[in-house]
Amino acid sequence: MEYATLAAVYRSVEATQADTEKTAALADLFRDAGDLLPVVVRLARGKVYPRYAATDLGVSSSLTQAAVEKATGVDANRIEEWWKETGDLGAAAERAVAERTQRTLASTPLTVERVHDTLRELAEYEGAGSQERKVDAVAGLVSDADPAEARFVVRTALGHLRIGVGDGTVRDALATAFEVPVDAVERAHQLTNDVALVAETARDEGEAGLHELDVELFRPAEAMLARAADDLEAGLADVGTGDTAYLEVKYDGARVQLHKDGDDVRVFTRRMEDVTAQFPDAVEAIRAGVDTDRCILDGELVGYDPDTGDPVAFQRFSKRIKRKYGVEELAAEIPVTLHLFDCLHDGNSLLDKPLAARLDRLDALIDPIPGDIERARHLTPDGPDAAETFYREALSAGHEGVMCKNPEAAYTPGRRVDTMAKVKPTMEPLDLVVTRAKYSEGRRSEQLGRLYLACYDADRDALREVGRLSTGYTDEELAALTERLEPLIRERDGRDVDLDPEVVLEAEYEEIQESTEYGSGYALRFPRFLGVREDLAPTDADTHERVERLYEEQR
Amino acid sequence: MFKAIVSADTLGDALDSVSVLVDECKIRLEDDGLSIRAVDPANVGMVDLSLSAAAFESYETDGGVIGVNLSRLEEFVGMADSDQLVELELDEETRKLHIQIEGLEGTLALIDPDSIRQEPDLPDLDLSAEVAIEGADIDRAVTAADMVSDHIALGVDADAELFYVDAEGDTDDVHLELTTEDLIALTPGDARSLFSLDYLKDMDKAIPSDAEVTMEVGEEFPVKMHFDIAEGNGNVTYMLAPRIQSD
Repeated sequence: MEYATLAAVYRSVEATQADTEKTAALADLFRDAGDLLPVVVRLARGKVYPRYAATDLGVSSSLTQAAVEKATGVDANRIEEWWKETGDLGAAAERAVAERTQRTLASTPLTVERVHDTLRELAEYEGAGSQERKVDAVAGLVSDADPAEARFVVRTALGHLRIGVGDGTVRDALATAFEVPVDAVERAHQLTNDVALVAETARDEGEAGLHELDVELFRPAEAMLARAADDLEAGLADVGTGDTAYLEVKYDGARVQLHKDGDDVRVFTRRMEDVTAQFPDAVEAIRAGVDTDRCILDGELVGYDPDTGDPVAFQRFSKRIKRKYGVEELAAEIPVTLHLFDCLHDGNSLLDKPLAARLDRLDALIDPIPGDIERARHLTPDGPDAAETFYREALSAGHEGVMCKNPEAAYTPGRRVDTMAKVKPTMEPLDLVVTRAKYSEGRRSEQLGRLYLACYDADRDALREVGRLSTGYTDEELAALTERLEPLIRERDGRDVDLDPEVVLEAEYEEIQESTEYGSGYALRFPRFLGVREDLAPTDADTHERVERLYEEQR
Repeated sequence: MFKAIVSADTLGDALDSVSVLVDECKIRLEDDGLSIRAVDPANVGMVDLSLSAAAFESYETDGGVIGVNLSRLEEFVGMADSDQLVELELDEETRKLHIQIEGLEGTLALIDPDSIRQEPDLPDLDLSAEVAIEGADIDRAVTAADMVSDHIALGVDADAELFYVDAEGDTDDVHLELTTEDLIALTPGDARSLFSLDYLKDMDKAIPSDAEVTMEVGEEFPVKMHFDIAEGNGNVTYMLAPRIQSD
């Protein structure tokens, strides 16, 4: 398939705001894709690897600029200027190709295969000279691209396609193209995290084939998620079993999915990131404490202070997630306990089994080692008083709160379900993306102290602002934050800057108000900075849907 | 099968002329010698190299194509003094190249030739003017232009029968003229094209200063440069696409 065909679809999808038109254009593309369906369906989201592979192409803005300069002969300063004008390096590349100053000896039309394969290879370049090879590879594509093609090649290389297509759009388009139910597509995707596999299955085997897709070892499924409840009473009521719901301590650590096949153990985060290397202690605990060959377990890794035995704040624990070198030293400083609370697979998929049965399997499989690997603390209360006592104890032990669960519920990956509720003392903080900022006045005038925050609209793959934050950090935290944000500045206008939306913050607030000032239609009242969520990508930020629901719930 | 012995000097010069444009290339092994054709990733510069069997102390092959990482191979060859001999032998089983230099032995893993980008078909060009010029004069022109600019114009004034070079920077400029007196030969025809100095500097590095370079130029057309290497037992052709002249 000529890449120009795909670029034309991108262009039309980008040009319309209407979801139905976006869906229809993609559905046509998928129907006509033939053998290229797996490739095209990933490219529709601007990706060349499945999500769980979490492969980074390692393409920076400056590398891309160098490639565009090499391919077009347009001076780097002009490309930079155009980039700043539009905030989009893809648009700058498009213009550079249109106004190219360097002719080529020959030009070969781009194919979808070539663009896909070339970008995939970028991730494999390592070591000395790999940056130059990446520049050459991207320059090769841009050199053969027409202006519109260059726009999308560059955006795909950078990992942000920016055509307003989210997982929801692709899901709907696949359902339309191959006449299968939307729910079946969604479930299959949440189980496999591989949209290419889902697309081929939908086309070749229809709805029945989609239903047969299931969790597999070393291919992480999305985690089942809970809704937030205002208080314990509401939480117990929400999950539908009254005050006899099954209760578990809610820990403040990292949600992990553990895959084990013999001695081969891997640890995945909620973002499907493979963090096995960062947690040798957890891997060892699983080898020692899980008495079966093949399984997939769900749990929370929590860091504890070795002196006091208290859980450490998430900010401190998150160092373990990021650490690539000196892992053992840090593991000694912040040891972790793995608190297990579900079993997805014990050789066979257990997703459709009720929670109670999955927990029986979990008990049968594990041989707890206190402090290393344990069941999450839990209770089936015999009344509201017992539940309340359990909740108070969890809080006083320094944990976040409790989970209320319906023991009859199946495991539904990727969904916020009605059968699980989390109960925490206050208005739950939101994880939000910093999209813009302004330098502070006075003493902190060198610092980016006024931060515009946005939630993520998954269906439109867009960020929508929910307010501005300017308190809650210490001077040190603000300085560190400024240092993080300044390299992301896309455009500067006086003291206002537009940022590449990469940093996710945790913010608390007093309430959510309706507002016409921000793109989300809501504004946070008195937002305060709690910390940077290093473990979250912008697309993991709290969703617009959630902000909307929180707003409704507080009324 | 491929087995050859060649002086480090000859092999090094040949490889240098290619590695200024690409990191990896295909080497075609033919009865009467080897050849390499490669186009840089941005499709701006091309090199066409042939090295005849006569350039080697010994040369045997039954044909084929091998893919090499040029900088790795150059590193190996760089281990030899210029007058030492390099022995090359292809191991068909392992797809590795055995290299032997006076007691130093090594193997170089080859690259699958299919993974190296196919060079595009290039148009035949009929260029209006032809200049025969010494390598040293090209070097002088490129060095002068590089003082003031990123670009260089190469031109022929047919009436005045001279070859000229212009480079204009933001503040400074240079102009160099070579008449028939200074040139080895001139076939006049009006020509002027602008080129990127980045590329031309790289090509210049590979042109021996005592080489006789035949340069073909046209009006906003690519330039072609031919010269001999290995004492006439090999030759290199460079082709470079022009920049678009702004008004």
